[in-house]
Amino acid sequence: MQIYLPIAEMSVNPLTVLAMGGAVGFLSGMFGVGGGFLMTPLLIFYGVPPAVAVGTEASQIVASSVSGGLAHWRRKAVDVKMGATLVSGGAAGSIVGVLIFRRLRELGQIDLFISLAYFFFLAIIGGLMLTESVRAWRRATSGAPALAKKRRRRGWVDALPLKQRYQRSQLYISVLPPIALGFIVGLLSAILGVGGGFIMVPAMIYLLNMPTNVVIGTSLFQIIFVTAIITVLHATANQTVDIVLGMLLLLGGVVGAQFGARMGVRLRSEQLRALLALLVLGVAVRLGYDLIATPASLYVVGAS
Amino acid sequence: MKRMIGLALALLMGLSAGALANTPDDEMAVWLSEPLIAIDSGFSGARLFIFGGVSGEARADGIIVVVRGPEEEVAIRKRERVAGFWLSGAPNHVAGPSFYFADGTDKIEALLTPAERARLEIGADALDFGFSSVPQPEADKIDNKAVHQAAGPDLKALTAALVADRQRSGVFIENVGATEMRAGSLFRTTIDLPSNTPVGIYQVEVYGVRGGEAIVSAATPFNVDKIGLERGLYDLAHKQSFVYGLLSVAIALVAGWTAAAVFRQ
Repeated sequence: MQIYLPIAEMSVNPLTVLAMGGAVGFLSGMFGVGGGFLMTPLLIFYGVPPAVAVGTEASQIVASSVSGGLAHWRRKAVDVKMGATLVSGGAAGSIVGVLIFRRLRELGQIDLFISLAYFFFLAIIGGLMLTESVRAWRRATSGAPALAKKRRRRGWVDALPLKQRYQRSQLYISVLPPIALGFIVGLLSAILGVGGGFIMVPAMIYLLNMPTNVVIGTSLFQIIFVTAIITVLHATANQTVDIVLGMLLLLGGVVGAQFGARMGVRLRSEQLRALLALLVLGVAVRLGYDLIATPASLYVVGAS
Repeated sequence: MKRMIGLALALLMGLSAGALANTPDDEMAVWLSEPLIAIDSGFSGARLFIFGGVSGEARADGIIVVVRGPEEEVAIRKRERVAGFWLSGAPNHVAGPSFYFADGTDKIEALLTPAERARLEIGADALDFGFSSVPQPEADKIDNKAVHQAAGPDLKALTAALVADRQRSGVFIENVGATEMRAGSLFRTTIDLPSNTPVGIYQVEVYGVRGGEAIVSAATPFNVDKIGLERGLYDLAHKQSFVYGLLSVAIALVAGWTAAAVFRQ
């Protein structure tokens, strides 16, 4: 059984794509991550042109972020004002990102850039996660008490101008850091086809000093709007969003995420984080190998 | 004298009339099983039958069938190792057929002389590829010969690489033994178009061969196009991209909302 993808211009087995969406959805539900950073390389490994993988993945992230974000919204765990500030930066960042993407495509270097960027991105994040989770695991097994989460003392962030009051986060902080953070995340999301939660969540906790109970909800809020903008931009500027592929991934993803979330509560947090770190590093190694190994053909043929 | 001239003229006219009656059209005919290959949502390739016959005074020893797909421009780049990583170099823009099929009742090299092969542009090495260092339509505006040629010795390597890539993708097919001849004058070829076959107008050329040369020929086109929902989505994505983008987002929002509602604890 095959389904023809009109934009990717290839036939795929719908069951395989559903399973891929389901697997990544499961992992994202279990670990509480977006999954874009796993889905995009997986699509590329499967043979989808990288540009279409990035554009289509953006639409899938919108769906899974809405699905996950609604629960936070109902519990009022979203700082809308902060989210809006982040989105304003994110919108600008995504426009720049899509333009860079388009330019790279014209130069014919987009495939290489995506592989290279993912390799470094995943290697760094995976490494950091592994060291952090191993440290936490050792601490947990040695019986030492868990580190209390300290609110950071006043630093350079507080010296910045243009301050605003954010009620929900109980913060009085300059708009510049959230806008800059939103911009960077928007830029990366547009080029790599990720949600950006990986960068945003730690940055919100440590850079902006937001209370942890609103961080995930607000992060999802930002991701929904920015990836929606990215989807429209990629569709308009590059014509690389494949609705049929997106819907198949969506279907598998939301179902998988529900099972993953249920499974996730049963495992210990440190083990989960270590597993995820290993997975991320595994993907990074595979990408790195593809970049360094002598290719099958010395010539690469692509669109003009 | 007048009578002799008259007789000579009548003879000449009679001979020429006889010659005109043997036009190439009624010596070879070709038909297709399907003039339109429709790509719908379940498309995974299509089987096309090409058949026909050689008639009249022509007697062919072999048949060659060639199918050429629509012209396409691609960019081919050479990979170089830079600081441990394999990077792609500057693009060479190549215009050529996006699909090519050549098959005969015997191996093509055995049926045609090399000169005849080159004349008819049959064989991967005889195909006409136009190279330029800038993409069309800019290349058309520039008269400089340097633009219209890739670096000299690389030309052969680039052509070979392009042909190899197309063969791997399954859109360049040669000598697959899918052509049969019956009763000395009827023939049939079976082509399996792959699922990634390009969209556009294809040309079918059939040749009756004797003594290393083509003595009769015929041609007919067919069309490969997306239909229905696939066509609609493709057109929407390319002609009304903004609306298509909004539609994608709308679907995603609804799907996410529905999923959250369905799985609500």
